[in-house]
Amino acid sequence: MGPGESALTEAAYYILLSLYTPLHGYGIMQNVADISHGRVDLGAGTLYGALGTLVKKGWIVETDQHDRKREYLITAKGRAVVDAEILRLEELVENGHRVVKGSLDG
Amino acid sequence: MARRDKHNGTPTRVLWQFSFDTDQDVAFINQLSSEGWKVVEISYGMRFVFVPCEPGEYICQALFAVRGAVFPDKAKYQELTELLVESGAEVVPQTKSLGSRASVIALREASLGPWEVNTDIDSKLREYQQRRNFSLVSALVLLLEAVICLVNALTTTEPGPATVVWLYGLAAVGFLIAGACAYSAFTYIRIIQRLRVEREVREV
Repeated sequence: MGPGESALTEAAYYILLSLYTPLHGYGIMQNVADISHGRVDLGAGTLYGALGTLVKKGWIVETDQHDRKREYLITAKGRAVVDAEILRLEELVENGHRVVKGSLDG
Repeated sequence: MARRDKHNGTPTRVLWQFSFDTDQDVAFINQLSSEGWKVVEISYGMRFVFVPCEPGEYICQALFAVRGAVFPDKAKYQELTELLVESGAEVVPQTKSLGSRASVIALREASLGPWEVNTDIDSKLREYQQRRNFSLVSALVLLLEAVICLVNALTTTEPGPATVVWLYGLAAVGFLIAGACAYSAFTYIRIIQRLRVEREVREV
């Protein structure tokens, strides 16, 4: 993700986070539910579309098939995108806290 | 109508629903589910076989699996089917239809909670764009077929009146189905426009 590019969608962000270890489709769905404490429930259509987009962008790759199922893994480019997104989110939260806290103190 | 058939001797209900809008098929199946009928087979794209179930026991959802607007995407169908089955759904068998591999129709028990197969706006947009393209291409192909039949019917005298009647018939059916496909396409276009507005509102 470079300057001017939009923020990651929630689905893409959680899928990328899930793929620091290789996983197949349903494993990703479960992992996303775990990471988000059950709040994010990825539908099959959403996951399928997002995987295609992320592969096309070179942020994840298909690894060897395991039990006839395609597994995916995040790439170095994908990790850089996640790092940038975390920085962006941290800045959002910090700025939010500073303004809200400032208004309460003031 | 109710009769016995191959579904383990269970009394079945066979209903015909002729629609070119997948949402209407899904709504039809969900309506029957709410009345205590579970769809177990779809053939010819319009013959629905149901068996009894608890009222509202199942939720139906559908996904399109095509590439290049009209060609069934076997790999996508396979992968979506696996994902759906692993997440607790069952895929409704579709037989004797050209489009039987172009869409996945699945059921999941309502007791497992609310269920959607497209959980974000982008995937909903992709879904409806595929459906729109499929309907538009189908409408154009059928329109072309109908025009060819009509022109032939108007200009051909050689084969005799029976052939001419056939040609008029084929043209009429072609125009009718092309119109239905075009109507579905415009319905999808309206949904796409609404989703785009929704996405813009969320991005503000």
